[in-house]
Parts: sequence; structure tokens; C-alpha cells
Amino acid sequence: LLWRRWDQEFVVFDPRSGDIHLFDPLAAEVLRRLDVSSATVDELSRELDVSLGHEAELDLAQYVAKLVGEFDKLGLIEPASVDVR
Amino acid sequence: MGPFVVRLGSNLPELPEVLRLLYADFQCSGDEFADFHVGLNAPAGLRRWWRPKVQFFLDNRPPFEPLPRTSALPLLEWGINWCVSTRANQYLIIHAAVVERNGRAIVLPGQPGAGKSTLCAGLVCRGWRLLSDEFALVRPDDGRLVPMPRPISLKENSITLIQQLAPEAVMGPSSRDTWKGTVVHMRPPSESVSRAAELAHASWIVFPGFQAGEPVRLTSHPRSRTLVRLARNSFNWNLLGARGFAALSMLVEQSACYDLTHGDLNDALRVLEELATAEVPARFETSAGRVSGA
Repeated sequence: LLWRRWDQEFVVFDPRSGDIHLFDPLAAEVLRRLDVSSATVDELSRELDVSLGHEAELDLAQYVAKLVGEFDKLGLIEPASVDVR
Repeated sequence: MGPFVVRLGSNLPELPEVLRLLYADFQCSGDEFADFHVGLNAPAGLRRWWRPKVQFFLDNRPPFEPLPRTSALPLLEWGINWCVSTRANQYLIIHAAVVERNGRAIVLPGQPGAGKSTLCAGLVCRGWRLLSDEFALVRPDDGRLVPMPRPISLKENSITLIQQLAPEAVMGPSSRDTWKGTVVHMRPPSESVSRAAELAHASWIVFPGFQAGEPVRLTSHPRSRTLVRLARNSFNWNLLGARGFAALSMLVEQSACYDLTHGDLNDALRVLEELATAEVPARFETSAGRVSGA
């Protein structure tokens, strides 16, 4: 993914689809994290909670699950293989 | 025509005179390479006399349905536009008018009806250099704008507005009942044609919107959203992939970005000229159409 940031908004270009997306900082934070490596919704929620200084009033897990669903619909992410140990 | 050479063949006897009027300052070339081989022909035989039509050709193939003979010149201009928008992929192509003064260009993106050609013609009549009333051609590697000055296409009410603003402007014949209504082409200024090899830097991206009766309003537009809107107005950014995205980003990065709503051409021209003469590019909404610095 290619990123540009102006003020409080992020523009993301997905070279595989050729689509451009516009995200607020919270959504961008989650997508950036997933761009580095795979993670579960719980992991993402915990990390976002830390980034927000544990001051989030909204239901982070629900918010992140919705975001992840939208990223999936947009073709920005795909399910990672389950690590069975 | 700017970076392109167009070879035109036609069997329309009325065409040379019109071209001599509107393309008076363009160079004619006899035998060099041509980017586009186009034709504009009336059908042969009796068909020529029954509801006379004219057809545009590229490489001897007609990409569109024929139009009434009275639409010959608009069809030629639209056909050349189509050639550029579908084939000149060495550039990032944005549907926008572009004018320049003192090395700084205003890019006016917009779909048909947004008023970009009218504003473009108005600014040109006030001394701005015409780069194009139809395309911003952006070099992907450095974001510079490549001029392609050609006759400016004016429609319906815009024709009278520009004639009132600049009675000395040279206008071509009036083509009535085209699918865009009445269309007239304005000859580009000689200086714009002679400086067609001189590239320009974008300094402002302004999305025009004509709304009858509305006061003029210039509103700062976020760069992130400007990039998304420019992409929507681009013919080929996704074809260029990452280079297209980089070129769009460069264009946005170097420009101050605005929405311009107006119901009066003179008010809109005044606001754009104030914007261009401001020492520091203006960034914020102004209530009465005056420009304030950031």
C-alpha cells in the first residue's frame, strides 16, 4: 500500500486493485498495523487501546471488527492462515 | 497541438476556412510523424444530400456514430479530445482547464457543466496563458503541466458571456443543436500558442461549480479529498498505477486547493485573480469572496 497524509486524513493507494481510499487516523492506524503483519481483532483492539492511552470510551473490539470487515470488503486485507501449534 | 502532431484529412469544403480562423497561429507540417491520423468526412454519393451527416475517423476507422453536418467542427474537437484522453498515457490526464500567469498555474477540474471552460476563457481574455480548456496533462516524473492550447469550446450562455467580456475575441462559427446545445469555439491567444512548449507548475487546484443566483464563495478544500476528486476526474491515473498516484500526490502537494461556487462570471474571475495575486496562497474560506492569507 502507498500512503499519503495531509492534515488529519490519510489517502491509501492499493496497487493490486488500483483503488484509492480515504481514512481517518484511527482506521489508518489499524490498516497500517495490518500492513506490517497479520493480527486478530483482539490483538488489534488491545494495541489500539494502548495507542489511545487506555482512554477509549467506545467499544474498541466492536469498532475494530467493523473496520476489519470493511477492509476485507475493499480487498485491502485477506484472512491469514491459522497458526496451529 | 502542444506535444501532439495531428494529421487531418477531410472532404468538407467548408473546413479549411474554419481551421484557418481558429488555428491561425498553429504550425502546419507537411510530412513529419503524426501522433494521430484523423479524418472528418461527409458520406459520398446521394447520402450526402439526405440529412447530411459527418463522421470522425481515427486511423480510417470511425469510433463514433455520425453527427449532423452542422456539428462538424465540434465533432473534430471532441474527436481529438477522445484521441488524447484514450491514448496519451505518457501523461497523467485530468479532465480540467489549466491557465497560467507568472509561472503559476490554476487547475480547474470538473465534469461538463461545472463551468471550467467559461472560467478558462474568461481568465484567458484577462491575460492568462491558456494551457488547455479540457485537459491537465501532467508529467508523471515531476508533476509539471504540459500545455495543449487549442480553441476553447463555449456552450450556450457562456458564448454571450465571453463575447460581452471580450468583444475582440475571435470566435468560430456557431454550431446549433449539437448534443451539448449551441457550441462556439474561441481562438486561443497567439502568445499561448507560441509558448506551447513552456511547461508550468500547478499552484492552485480549484473545483468550480456554477449555481445560478449564488454569491461567489471560495472555500479551502482538504488536500486528501482533493486527491480523491482529482482521481475521479482523471482518465488514466489507475492505468499508470503507482506512478499515477505519485503524480496526483505531487500535484496536490504543490497546490493550494479550493472549491469555487459562483453565479456570476465576473465575481468568479475577480476572486481567482485575487487568489493569484495574494503573496501567500490563501487557505481559508472567505465569506464575501475576498481572499485572506494563511
